[in-house]
Amino acid sequence: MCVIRHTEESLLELFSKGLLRGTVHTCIGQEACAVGVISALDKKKDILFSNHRGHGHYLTYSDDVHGLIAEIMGREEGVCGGVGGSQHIHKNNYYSNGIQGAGVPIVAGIALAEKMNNSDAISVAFIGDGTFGEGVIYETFNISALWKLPMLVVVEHNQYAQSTPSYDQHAGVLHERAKVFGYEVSVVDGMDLEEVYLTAKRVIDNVRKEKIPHMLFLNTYRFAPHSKGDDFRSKQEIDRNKKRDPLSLVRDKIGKEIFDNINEDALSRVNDVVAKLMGAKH
Amino acid sequence: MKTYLASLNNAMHEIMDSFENVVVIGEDIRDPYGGAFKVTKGLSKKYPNRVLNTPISESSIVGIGTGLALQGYRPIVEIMFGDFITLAVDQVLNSAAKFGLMYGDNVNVPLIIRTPMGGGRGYGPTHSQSIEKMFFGMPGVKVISPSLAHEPGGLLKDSIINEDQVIIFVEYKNIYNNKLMLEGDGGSLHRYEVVDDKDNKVIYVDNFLECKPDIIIITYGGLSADVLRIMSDLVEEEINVRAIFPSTISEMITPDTLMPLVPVEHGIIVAETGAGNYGWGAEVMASLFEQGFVKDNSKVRRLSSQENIIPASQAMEKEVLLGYEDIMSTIMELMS
Ligand SMILES: Cc1ncc(C[n+]2csc(CCOP(=O)(O)OP(=O)(O)O)c2C)c(N)n1
Ligand SMILES: [Mg+2]
Repeated sequence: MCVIRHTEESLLELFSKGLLRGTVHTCIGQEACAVGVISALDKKKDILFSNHRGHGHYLTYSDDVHGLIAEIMGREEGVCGGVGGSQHIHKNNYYSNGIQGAGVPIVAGIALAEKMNNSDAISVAFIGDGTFGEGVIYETFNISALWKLPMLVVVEHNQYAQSTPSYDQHAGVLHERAKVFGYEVSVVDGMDLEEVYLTAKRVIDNVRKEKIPHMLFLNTYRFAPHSKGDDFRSKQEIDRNKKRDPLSLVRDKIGKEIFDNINEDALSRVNDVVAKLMGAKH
Repeated sequence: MKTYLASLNNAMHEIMDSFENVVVIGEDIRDPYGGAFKVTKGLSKKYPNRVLNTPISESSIVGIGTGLALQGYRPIVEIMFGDFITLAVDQVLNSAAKFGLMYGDNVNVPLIIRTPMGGGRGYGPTHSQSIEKMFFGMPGVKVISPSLAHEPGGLLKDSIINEDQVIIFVEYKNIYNNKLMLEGDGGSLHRYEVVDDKDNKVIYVDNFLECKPDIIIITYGGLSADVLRIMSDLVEEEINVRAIFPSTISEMITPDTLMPLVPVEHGIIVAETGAGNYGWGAEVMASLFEQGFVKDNSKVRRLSSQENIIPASQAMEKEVLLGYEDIMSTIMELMS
């Protein structure tokens, strides 16, 4: 979690210095979602499909700080050779793409393949609350429930899509929607790493065993702007949510001393990577 | 001097001020955000009931626009990035565009779909392509794309006033913040306008007053920035260049539009930002040949970006996208 936080903070800093271009969607504030879910997966065989806000997912999956930052800097040594940038990343069983909702049917296809192969791998799609606007996800809820596909849809409900609050774009209760197709839905406090991990572990074991789709619905909040700039949320609202910073919640649990050690290691690791990349000529 | 963006934003305001039946819908278009590229900034403050934020539902956005148009409204819908228009193509092709043609009576769908195409900003493969060619040759759909030598807002207003069909209005995101080259303020460049019988507003720009063109460049949209810069830079070299920027890019270029082509001393360049195969340039080239404007085929060049996706990294993006250097070196090659 600390590595993700420091990586993204340095990405924002590089951006503000004009050393990065394009978009940088950070998951600052949502780290417990990435770490809690992906730590409960079998990284050797399970397949992940992330979205535009995927740095945390990628780092938890790969621990590849250098490959990610280099990618976003547009370097050849980046994980996708600088072609993909922030939102279009692939390594081993990990994919991400910048089209909202498009990954959900693809994850169903992956799950179908794994099921036909008689493997016990599961596949996982990460989507935001705003992505409930895309019709293709409902087509996929239906098919995946009907065909009993071993897949997990992870929703990171951070209450906003770009500038638009969730309540201004969705009717009804979001976490109820997949249920009508027969999905089981687990609603979890996405700021609490322990709770996310324990629920994810249980759910993932079940999807693997029973070969049925499941939705993990994580309530969370992003502390930084949607991309690099514009943020029209009130400071009060952001500050109120920051009181439940997932990193502080972990620190409270494991103790300040242990946490600070981990945090300092993470910071110096990230600083080393950035320094090395800044020193290297293109 | 006005920018491309300011012209569009002002026009959106003027359109909403003048026409009560205009409704604007899209993702994140309301204030204070005002749209991903700010074309709709200030609109929802003035007209809160006619400027609607939608969920992330491109197909519904276009379908709802179609329904509004059937009921007598004049919807202008925004697709946040041109790449996402693929999610709504069925609504365009099989419904909106066909309704005006297949019912055999007086059904019209006057629907304007605005969207920004093109790269140059490092957004990577799903946010940078120029895919307007999907809509070329689609019956019932007209594709309009302003250059820097047009008044983009004027074209938008004309679309509201004159058109009763589906318009894909292609803005180029690499030039939103560029200054327009309008009459009188083009420095050494001279601009004039011809409107053909299909309402295609074609802008001609010459880099000499009595231009006897050595080179003619036919292009549209975002490449106008590079071409205008090239033309200024070639004044010193005394190379006469005439640029031709059509606004309607989905129609065959008519003979009157092409008349200023003759005589051309050294060559004709047809350039587009999208990938070139089966593209706009191919159609323009075919017209040039069919209409007998090209006598010597060693003098024509078709330029486009590479047949590739648009990479995120600056260096690679520059390599894939057609730009200043490629066009300039083609001019020099034709001149030699
Ligand atoms: C098909 C499509 N439409 C629109 C966008 C532009 N866009 C990128 S992120 C975003 C908001 C997504 O909101 P949400 O799903 O809640 O994820 P969050 O950003 O909150 O993590 C939008 C509209 C896109 N990338 N793809
Ligand atoms: Mg969200």
